[in-house]
Amino acid sequence: MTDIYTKSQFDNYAELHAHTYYSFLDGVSSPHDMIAEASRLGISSIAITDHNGLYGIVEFSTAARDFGIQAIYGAEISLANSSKRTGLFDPSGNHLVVLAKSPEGYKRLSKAISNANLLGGEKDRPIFTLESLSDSANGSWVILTGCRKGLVPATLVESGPSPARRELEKLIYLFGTDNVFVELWHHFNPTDTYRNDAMVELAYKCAVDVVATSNAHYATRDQYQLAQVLSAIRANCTLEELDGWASPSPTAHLRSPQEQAHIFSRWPRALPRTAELGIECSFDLKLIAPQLPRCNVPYPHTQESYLRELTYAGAQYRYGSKSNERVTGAWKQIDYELEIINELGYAGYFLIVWEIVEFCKSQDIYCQGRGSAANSAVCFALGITRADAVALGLLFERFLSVARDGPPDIDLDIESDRREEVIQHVYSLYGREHAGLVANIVSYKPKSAIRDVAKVFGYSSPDIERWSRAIEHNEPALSDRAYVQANTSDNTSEHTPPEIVISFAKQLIGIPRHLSIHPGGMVICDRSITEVCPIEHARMKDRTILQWDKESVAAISLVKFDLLGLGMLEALHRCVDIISEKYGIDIDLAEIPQEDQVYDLLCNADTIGIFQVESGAQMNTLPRMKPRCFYDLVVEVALIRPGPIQGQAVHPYLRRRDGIEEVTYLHPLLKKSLEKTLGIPLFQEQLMSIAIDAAGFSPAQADELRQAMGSKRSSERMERLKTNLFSGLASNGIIGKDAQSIWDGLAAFSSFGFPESHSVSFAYLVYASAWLKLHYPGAFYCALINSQPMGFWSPQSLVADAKRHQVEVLPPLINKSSLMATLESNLLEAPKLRLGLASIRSIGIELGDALYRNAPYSSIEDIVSRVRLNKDQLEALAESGALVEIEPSRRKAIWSAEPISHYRQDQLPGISTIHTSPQLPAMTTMEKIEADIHNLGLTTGPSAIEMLRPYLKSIGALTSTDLVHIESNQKVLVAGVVTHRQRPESAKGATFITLEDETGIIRATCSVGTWKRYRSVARSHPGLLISGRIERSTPLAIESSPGSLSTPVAINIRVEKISPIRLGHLPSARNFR
Amino acid sequence: MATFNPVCYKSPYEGVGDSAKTQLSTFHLLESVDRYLALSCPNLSHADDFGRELRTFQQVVIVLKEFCPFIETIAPGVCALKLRGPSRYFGGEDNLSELIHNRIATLVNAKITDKRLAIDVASISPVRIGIANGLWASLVAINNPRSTVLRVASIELGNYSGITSVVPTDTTSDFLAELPVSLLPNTNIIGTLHKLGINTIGSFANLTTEDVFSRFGKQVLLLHEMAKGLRSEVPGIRHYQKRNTLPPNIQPAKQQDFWGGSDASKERALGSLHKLESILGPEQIFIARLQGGWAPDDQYRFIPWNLQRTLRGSRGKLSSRPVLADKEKPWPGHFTHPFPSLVLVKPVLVHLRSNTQQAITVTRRSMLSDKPADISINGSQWHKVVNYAGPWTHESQWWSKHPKRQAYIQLTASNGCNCLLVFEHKTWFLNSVYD
Repeated sequence: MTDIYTKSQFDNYAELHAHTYYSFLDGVSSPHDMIAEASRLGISSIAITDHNGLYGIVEFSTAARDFGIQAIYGAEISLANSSKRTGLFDPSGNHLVVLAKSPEGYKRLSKAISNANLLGGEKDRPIFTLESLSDSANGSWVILTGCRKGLVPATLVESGPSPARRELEKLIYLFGTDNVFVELWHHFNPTDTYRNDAMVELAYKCAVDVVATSNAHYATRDQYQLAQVLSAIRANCTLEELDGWASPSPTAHLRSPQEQAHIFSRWPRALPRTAELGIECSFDLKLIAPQLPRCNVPYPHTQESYLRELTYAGAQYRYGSKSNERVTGAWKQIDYELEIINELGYAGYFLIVWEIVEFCKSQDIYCQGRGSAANSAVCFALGITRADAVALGLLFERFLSVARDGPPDIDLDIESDRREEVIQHVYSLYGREHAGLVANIVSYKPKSAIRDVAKVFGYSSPDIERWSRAIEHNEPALSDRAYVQANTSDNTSEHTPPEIVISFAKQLIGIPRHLSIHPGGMVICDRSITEVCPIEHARMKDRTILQWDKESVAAISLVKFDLLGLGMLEALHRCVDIISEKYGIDIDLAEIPQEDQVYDLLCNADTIGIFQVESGAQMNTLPRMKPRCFYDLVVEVALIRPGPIQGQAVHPYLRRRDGIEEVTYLHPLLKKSLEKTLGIPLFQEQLMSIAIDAAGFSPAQADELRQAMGSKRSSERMERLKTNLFSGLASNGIIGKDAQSIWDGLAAFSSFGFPESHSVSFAYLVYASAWLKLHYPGAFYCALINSQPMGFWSPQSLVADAKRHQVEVLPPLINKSSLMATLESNLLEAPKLRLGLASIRSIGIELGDALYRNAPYSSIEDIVSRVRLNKDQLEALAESGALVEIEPSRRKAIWSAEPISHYRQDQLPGISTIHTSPQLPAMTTMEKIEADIHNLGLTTGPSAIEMLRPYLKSIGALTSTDLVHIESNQKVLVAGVVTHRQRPESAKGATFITLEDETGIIRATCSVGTWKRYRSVARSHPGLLISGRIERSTPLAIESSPGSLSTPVAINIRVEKISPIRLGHLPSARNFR
Repeated sequence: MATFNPVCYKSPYEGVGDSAKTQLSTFHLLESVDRYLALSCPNLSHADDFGRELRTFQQVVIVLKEFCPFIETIAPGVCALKLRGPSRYFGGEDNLSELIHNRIATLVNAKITDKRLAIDVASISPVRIGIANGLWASLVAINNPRSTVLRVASIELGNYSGITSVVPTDTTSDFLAELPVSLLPNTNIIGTLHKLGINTIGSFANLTTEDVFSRFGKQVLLLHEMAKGLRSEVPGIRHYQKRNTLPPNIQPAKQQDFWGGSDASKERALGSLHKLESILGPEQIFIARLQGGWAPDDQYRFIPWNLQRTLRGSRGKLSSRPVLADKEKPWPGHFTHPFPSLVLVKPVLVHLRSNTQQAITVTRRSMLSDKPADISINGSQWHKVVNYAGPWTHESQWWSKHPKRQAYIQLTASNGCNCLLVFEHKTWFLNSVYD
């Protein structure tokens, strides 16, 4: 059906009131889609007016530029917003649309939003008042009267024209006659015409102009239903309940100028004025990123000279004096790097990072530079990174070069539980307006989409739980496949949400739900960041974040520092502390020696708890890889990643390492670059050095090539570089097919390459954690357990692994345990680890600490008389067995929990008579296991599988250790608790199931077909019985030959059949993470 | 009468304080446990299909009323009656349950369907009957027919299948004893009972009253008595009456708040309605209520008189229960004054055309395809359109089985007719007329 209203050509029209999905659940379309639709409709300029923020500004202006549309910048401000926008049908507070007239207006708007947020003091509660807005505006804004909730229209509807006129006059008084406009909109409701008539009359009486908008909350008509779904999500209600609160008219979409001309023909002055205002508010917004702050340097230093001095001092210590350097070329490299750093003006940047690292050192916080910063000798000299870039021959240009886009990237890994101290240090050093954490926009993924959509359609929570669990992948890119899987592989409708839920969930994917904090990014500026981007409070106390995510931040070249939390650094620190405290041995992780036994441990894949190499895939490769030196670890870290696995680099590398395949190079000139990885390219630095060696590129050019290949954005630049590369190759005599295959190789590899420097940084942590596991297993597991949650393995698996390494793990006891797990043994005894009180369900840090400080206790009443506990907490203590010292029967203790929890502190112990318990059956071992797992998340005693072993033996099931003696292709039966279910992208659909029994870990691989057949069992049961065929990395014959008994072997089971074992309450597996 | 007597909800331990022990020892049971027959149609227990299952189940209730005038509905698809009178009259429990099965079988096999009410008698089968001392035990007997204590009889008649599980008079506590505690209708304590190793109802029943009181508090004493077979039921086993506002000792049919009072004339009016219903059958009497809404025809609703007291809050999907839309909500953009004086229940077909004699439609973008020039109501002659306003569009209830996608225009025709037209399913209808 053609619209008669699109037939005639109409003048330009400006859309002055439009929400994108950055109105968080009150808008549906992305800034890009909004602009695209505006362009299709022939709108010449369009405003973005999201609620209380400028979240989408960067995306919006980029899209507007792409489509050749003039962007207008604004926001819809909530006045007197005493409550939050979410969880309510109709959030209170009136609205006001603000549009910036100039760059100054934009700056003032951003500041006004920031101030309101800071004043509100918590997330999503900005405090705006008309008066403060008037001060902020200073004539640089246009004010529209806004939507149904706008001050003037709302007063008109509620109280009539006279009070509404007073409100309008107030706006005029505060913002100026020329800046206030009465907004008309028409959503095809019977009341729209009345209201617009009344508004026009008000405007006439107050002598202000009238403009027309579409007050759009979605780009196209089709998105109306989705908008309602979002509204219901925002109000936390069902669609049925929402009915009557939200507009039922599918009309809040963008309109063409022709449509608007028709709709507003009753008010002929509105449209021309709208178009004029659109032009008045048009300006080219150049968001100019503030510079980095200048560091305070001692007189008479400049930033540059101070950096040089600090670097030299560090170099002196690490490399020795210039005349007598320990690493050849180190000083030359340092001078070269300093020259480039100064040329690019990044001295201040390095000083800022150096200051943060110095702060960490002064506070005894473990931190380490990661990523490409480790390519820099300056970073090494300053103590920012641990990798000696010169000795390792790392390419500085991967980190910083003249040709590089934007500032370098220095990421700092900081031990997780102390990262907050570092962040707060940065806030206090530079000030809240000059520093902010980068936002992370949390968008809908399949699971959350299914959950929220099913909820608004009124489904019950058990259904919703089941459906969201049925989705095995949470990657947005995989959404469609995930749904297909959810739909087809389980035939029972039980696991499949209804069609309507699926269809809306699909539409929801990618729409922002809320703002959270980016895991590390922090921006530091010399002037107030709020001039460019508003800041707001995060959920977490004392944290302020930008309203932009890292893409927006990068788009305007704001310099971002990544301060990342790393669990392993925390664990290492704890471990070193425990060793020092318990054994009196001080360990400097920088000084630990290289030892063969450590590599033996790694070769045997005895790596549970060890950084980076503890995953199933890593454990599977280690026995094939057989690392014997530090650089092997660097390769191992880079090798077992999705990229190289998919790029099929793993097997050739391992074959060459085993001498099965010859090491060859495409051209002799490539040998220098690829020698260290046996001719298989693994690192981004290699890509660069190939370009340097074979095509005569400068290091800077080589980095440009790497960036261009990695981003695949600018095809023009790519063509230019390609031409350069080919001519460079030709001058070295490489032409035709050879040149082409070098190019193809580089292009293929560029997508998965990994910075060598990053691998080096991580390899240090791999070695350090392996060394500690070997020498101090007690302290090592203790530290890991206290650093949870982290790593690949659950606490239960860590405890089981500890036991396999002769570390005794003891349950928490009220009179023996500390708050956290502790080592009870001294250096001469076998390690004994006691779990802490905080590990008990519902106890937590605060209460655990109180319990610990008041210990010992003589009775349960005694506990209650000194520490305030509720019934649940007391019951958890009782059920976990933590009270067996004072009440040997767990069941009696559980019985007493309720009467004693009412026990008053002023009562004398022993007086209570009411808790004498009846005869209760003692807990069976299985019941104890269940109680342990329920209350501690793990059991320290025998595992359920161990209890079942006689039965399992009778049906012929083997243990993990038995499997070592089984030849490839033999059929076996195994049983265990599922610790992981994984389906990595690189596995081509195969599912990896990891089982744990009392002797160790069993890995099994399930083909697509087998998984499909046994899916419902395999996915839902905590304990599985698996039969299948053995796959060994080394044949049994070789392994059992004399003298080579310890040859490492990786064993895998090719699954043929899966059945459940019923074990009661078991720890839950980590599924499809 | 089967309705619960509120006196029983009151704990005999009300006011138990420091001297709990002395009071406990003087306590005597107040309730004698009646024998109950509970009946369940598992197929009709969801009631999510626009009341279809509810109406079908109503047929079963009507049949049961032949045996006992007081049938209590417990949950969707579940009802119960006290056995004492009926069992004596119909020759004992076994005879009675057989008669009930036979009678319902006749209904099922008659294959009566009523398309308008969407009743499907075939879905009544299978029917399960449980007989025991106490309402709760009879409900439990329905769902646990494998217990060794039970006497079970099944019946097949054509398309009908039924099963009766009888707990003999003196064995109710034995019957309950072997069942898991998870069947108890108080989910709060089940977890604790498991933790204590008390896994069967019997071992729970074996605890002393003092122990139960001191560990679980007085609220659980009633449950304990029920577990011992000494009490008919505890609050909380009726699935939807919980949310019903009815005073407990008044028969649902005599709902007072319907008329807003209870004086004699209203009682009489209600009586007449009941008589009328007994003649016309259930759900034949409708009453009009005003409600919140966007369009004029949304702002009132006919409610089946006897349905307004039934199902509230069904499980799972959006329920279609006849609940009035909230008048307190803002209904943004809704129709206001002037209201039409006549709203047509059955819409009348209207033709609307442009100057070029093209039929007028409303586009997806809520625009009229052209200016309306002439109107013809119900196929009668064409009149000129003098003036019009609109269209006003709404799309609501799109998530339900009865989505509404409508556009309205107000229009004055040359014959002086002021009316509201609605465009729905690509067709214009006369919706209402203004004075």
